Amino acid sequence: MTETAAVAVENLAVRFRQRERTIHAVTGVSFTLARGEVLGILGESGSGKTVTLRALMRLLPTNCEIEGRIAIDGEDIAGATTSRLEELRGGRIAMIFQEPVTALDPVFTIGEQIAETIVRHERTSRREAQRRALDMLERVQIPSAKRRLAAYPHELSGGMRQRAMIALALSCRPSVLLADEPTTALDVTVQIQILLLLRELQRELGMAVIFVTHDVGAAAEISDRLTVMYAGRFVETGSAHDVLRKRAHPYTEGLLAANLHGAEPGTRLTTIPGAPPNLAALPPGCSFAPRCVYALPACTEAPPPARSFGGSHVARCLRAAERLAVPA
Amino acid sequence: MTGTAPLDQRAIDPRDRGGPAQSLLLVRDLKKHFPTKRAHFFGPRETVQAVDGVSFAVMKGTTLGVVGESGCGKSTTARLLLHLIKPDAGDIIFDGDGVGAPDGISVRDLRLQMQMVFQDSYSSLNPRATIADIITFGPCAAKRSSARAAREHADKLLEQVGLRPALFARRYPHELSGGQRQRINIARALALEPRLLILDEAVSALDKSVEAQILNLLADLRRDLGLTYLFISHDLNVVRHVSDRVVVMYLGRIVEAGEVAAIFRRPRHPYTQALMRAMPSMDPDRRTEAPSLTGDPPNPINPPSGCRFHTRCSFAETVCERVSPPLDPVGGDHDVACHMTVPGSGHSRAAERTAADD
Repeated sequence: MTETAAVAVENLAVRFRQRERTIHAVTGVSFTLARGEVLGILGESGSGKTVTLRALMRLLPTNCEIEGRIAIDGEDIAGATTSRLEELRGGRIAMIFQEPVTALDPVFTIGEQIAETIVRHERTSRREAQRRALDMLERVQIPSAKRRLAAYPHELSGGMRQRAMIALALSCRPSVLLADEPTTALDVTVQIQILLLLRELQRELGMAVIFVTHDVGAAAEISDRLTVMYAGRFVETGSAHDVLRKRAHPYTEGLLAANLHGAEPGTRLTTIPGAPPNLAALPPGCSFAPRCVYALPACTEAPPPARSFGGSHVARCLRAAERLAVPA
Repeated sequence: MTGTAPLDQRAIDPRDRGGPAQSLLLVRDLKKHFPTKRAHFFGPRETVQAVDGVSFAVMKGTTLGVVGESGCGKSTTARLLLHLIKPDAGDIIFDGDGVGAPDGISVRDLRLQMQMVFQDSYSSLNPRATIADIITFGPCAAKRSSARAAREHADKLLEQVGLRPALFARRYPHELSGGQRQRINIARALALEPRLLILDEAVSALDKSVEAQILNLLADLRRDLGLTYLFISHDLNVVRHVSDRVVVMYLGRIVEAGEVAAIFRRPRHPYTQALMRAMPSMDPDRRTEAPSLTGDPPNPINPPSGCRFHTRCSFAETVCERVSPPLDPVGGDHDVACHMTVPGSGHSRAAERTAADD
């Protein structure tokens, strides 16, 4: 028997029902993530990357409909009971957020918050939990960890708070870590420290990580595999190398061209014309077709199927094959 | 269209006083210290040294980029320039006229020629006013333009920032996307026909594809209107793309300044070097292996003595703790505040470095 995947998602769809309209936040997303693998989800605001992540933990408001299969370590999440979800969250699946200030409780010390999680999930003694909390703070390289155990979140700097949140998330050795833009609010010199720390801990603990970001640089630093999201769909998925170099989907190409890295200073930047589609009224065909310079009449008829371009490299574009064949 | 060459435009600008060789904005030894609350009644009153002796010049028709991490004083500097906060000390000279000086120009006159675009496109627009009202308010209040003339001008500005007036003039800020709102902020800033625009993290909150559109727009406007920009950002890629000259700030002081190509090709200050090495590699096959700096920037309350970077600098020696290095030229249009670039400063690397350079 093959090893069960850390995360397996099949045909995930998330819709938000409002009075007069339905917002299709995520449509037809399928992927599997092996143990110890890092998947980066790259996308702009409104592309559905955060909703996908939250669906995996069922952390979405009640007015939304989730469809499809979600399994973590082979266990069904879509149909799990509330009490079972409470056990899983913070235990086997953990999450880190963009803003540690809002994710940490302001009235408890860092040590108390980490110890509480350990006691809750592993039923250890208070004392043992405190010892492990200290161990975690040392692991995330917080200087004078012992003193920081007794610190409240507001007493720490931004980078230290982010480290404390990572310590909290990893305190019960989760097999899956969901990271929602954890480095976006940080300064560049701190961002790279946190990325390297996450990479190191991921290897050490053998975790599967899903890393959501809008920053190509952060995604390139941490991801084994990378997927690009647009209007609720995975439009291109593959190894980080394939996606960033080959750029099979025109949106990937546009997104990377708009990134200033490597652009000649003072020149005009290549931009993607137009704006993303309204998620309440998605076009029948490819969502990117209205903005795409390569679009054909067929592109607007039905959503393009996923096509493979060698190995695990997959893109949803009718013209990807001919575009890749012609060296740019 | 006003698509004339910037030089011709500047030559006919009746407000130009010193000619193209005079810097449009000159800042000398600008200082701002904020007092903090006492920890307890008899405790000492501490100060945040937000901006501590900053000097730079912005030449006409050019873009000066200001980079630095949070807490380095770049936004405080922007606010001091417009007198949104009063400086404690220092001179601001706009095209040869001292601001607030007896024979200079008033703050009010300065603001007619210097405008600002803020990072948060939503909180900087009045949510109860239509786009047309927002853009016409400045000219009507400050220049006593007639409502009709201001409105016609607003339509022209909307056109210029790429929004159709018929579609947008009557809308409210919440009906617009982030990129559209930032276009409105630019139109609003341009309504007074300023000569210098301060862009304080103006593209930082935008998605990459929108950011590229706004950067192109800003480049077009600078060319067409002969504008001068002070461009503040934490993003080195953006600053490199838009700037002619760059100033790097750390904890309230300038550590390095010079032409953009020189600074990016060969950064001389250890902080600038670390900042550049901290940028993600963008190449999954050549990832960053070790962080260039450890820890967070120190608290600007009671900053380190001497060189403020010495607590994180891998080359720090005793002289760095004791003496604050001056911002001195290192050849060409390139200034660095580091003991290692000053021969005879007492730093062990000072001599060998200069010997290797010459």
